[in-house]
Amino acid sequence: MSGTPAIRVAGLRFEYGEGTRQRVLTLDGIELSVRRGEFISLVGPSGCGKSTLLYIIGGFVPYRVGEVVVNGARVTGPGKDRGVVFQQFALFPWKTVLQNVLYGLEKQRVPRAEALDRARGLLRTARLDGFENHYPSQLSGGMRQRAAIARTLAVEPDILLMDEPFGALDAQTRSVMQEQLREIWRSTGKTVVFVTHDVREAVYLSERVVLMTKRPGRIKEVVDTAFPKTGEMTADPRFHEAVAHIWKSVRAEFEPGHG
Amino acid sequence: MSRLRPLLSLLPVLAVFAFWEGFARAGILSDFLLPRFSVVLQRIWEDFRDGLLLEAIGQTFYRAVAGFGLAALLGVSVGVAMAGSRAARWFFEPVVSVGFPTPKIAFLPIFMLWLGLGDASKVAIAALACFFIITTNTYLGAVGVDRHFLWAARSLGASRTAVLREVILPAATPQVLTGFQIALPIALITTLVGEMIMGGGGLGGLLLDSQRFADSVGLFAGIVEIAVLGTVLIRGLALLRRLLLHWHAEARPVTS
Repeated sequence: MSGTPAIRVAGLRFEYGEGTRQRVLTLDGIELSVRRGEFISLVGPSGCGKSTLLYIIGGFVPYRVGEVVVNGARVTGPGKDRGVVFQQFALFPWKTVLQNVLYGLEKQRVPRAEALDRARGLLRTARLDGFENHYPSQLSGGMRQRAAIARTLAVEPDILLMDEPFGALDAQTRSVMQEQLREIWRSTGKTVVFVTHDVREAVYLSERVVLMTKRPGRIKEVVDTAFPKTGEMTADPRFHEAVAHIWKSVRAEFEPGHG
Repeated sequence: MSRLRPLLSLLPVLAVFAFWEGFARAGILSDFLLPRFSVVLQRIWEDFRDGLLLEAIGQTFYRAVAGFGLAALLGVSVGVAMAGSRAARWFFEPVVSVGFPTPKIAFLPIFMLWLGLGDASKVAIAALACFFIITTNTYLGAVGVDRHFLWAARSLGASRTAVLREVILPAATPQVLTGFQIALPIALITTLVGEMIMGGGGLGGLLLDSQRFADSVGLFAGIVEIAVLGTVLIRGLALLRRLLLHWHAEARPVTS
């Protein structure tokens, strides 16, 4: 079991608006394998299809050419083995924080008492105790994202798919959230696929950074960033070398045609 | 101060009534063309005392609300189904786009033929008038739901039908209620027109009788009564909206 990768993508090609006149080749020839328990980031210029790739792995966007295999099974739709965290949180605004976290547990038919226990525990870890009966619109951005992550973790997915989860947060909140995500990853050993625009964030959080070309998105380079890290503000030269290298490579994608 | 505010908003209405009274007293128009507001009020009071008014209001209220309720039930179901199913969309989209701009009151003679002159035809015409508005608003609200909500629910283990009921419907509630708020006055108008054409009691029936007997005070009394009933119904729905959307940012008083 430990030999099979958590996620394997082979020969994936994807066109938006297939069967219409305005179809756009979004992804082409994607080959990617993610180890169980690995943290990888997808980085690339806007519109390179990195979010599309994430949502194809999530099972939300159907694909026809190529193969996407999660835990040994071909992806045909969403599943609770893959938890998703969105940039705009996607908390249900008509449910309280506690009801949001309980939703997945109800869908999994977890007995009420146990579900409440688990949800309250997760909210404590997310430092949201005391906000259980608040509605999402009453919380700050950072609190909303912590609640959304708690909701995702509640059903215990072994893969986390994160689409620029900290992109809507201010700088201080973002760095606190990064610490907490690293802590979750270290303590739970989940496999994480993390989409971001932020190269420093990608290098800091992940073991490998996957660089994509501009549309149609192909994998340009995979950079190993699995050295020990102390923080985004570290003086470690390996950190700065990796950031500089990836930056240069992403910038090169902008050059022709992009002002 | 805040307790006075609702009264304050009544002031312009009172001013219109005062102007009416003053203008009628000036004698430019005869009492028949424009009776005094105070005389009209007196008539409303008499109708109320005789039990005539409450009976008529009850009939009109029942017909309008029954028609509206029927349309709400069907319209929300069809609107959500259209958002969730390709087959439902294929069938209802052309039907709705033809039905929406058609003046529904044109069906009244046919409904009279089919359902007779009693409550049934009036309820049916009110329901038909509301159905397309509620369906369209529900459908637009439901297809406009952020797909990330749907994806979040699906990845947490919700089935497609559960998503329809537990995510799409509540997320579309603000727009569904907007549809209700547009449809309810239309239900009232349609009911009234039905009563004025067919008779059979209700406020429209009272108007019809006043017209037949050239009773201009009765006509003006009818108009005031209808205005009051309409206002009460619409205020009630606005209150319902605030209760249902307590989670929504629009329902919360602005702080800081």
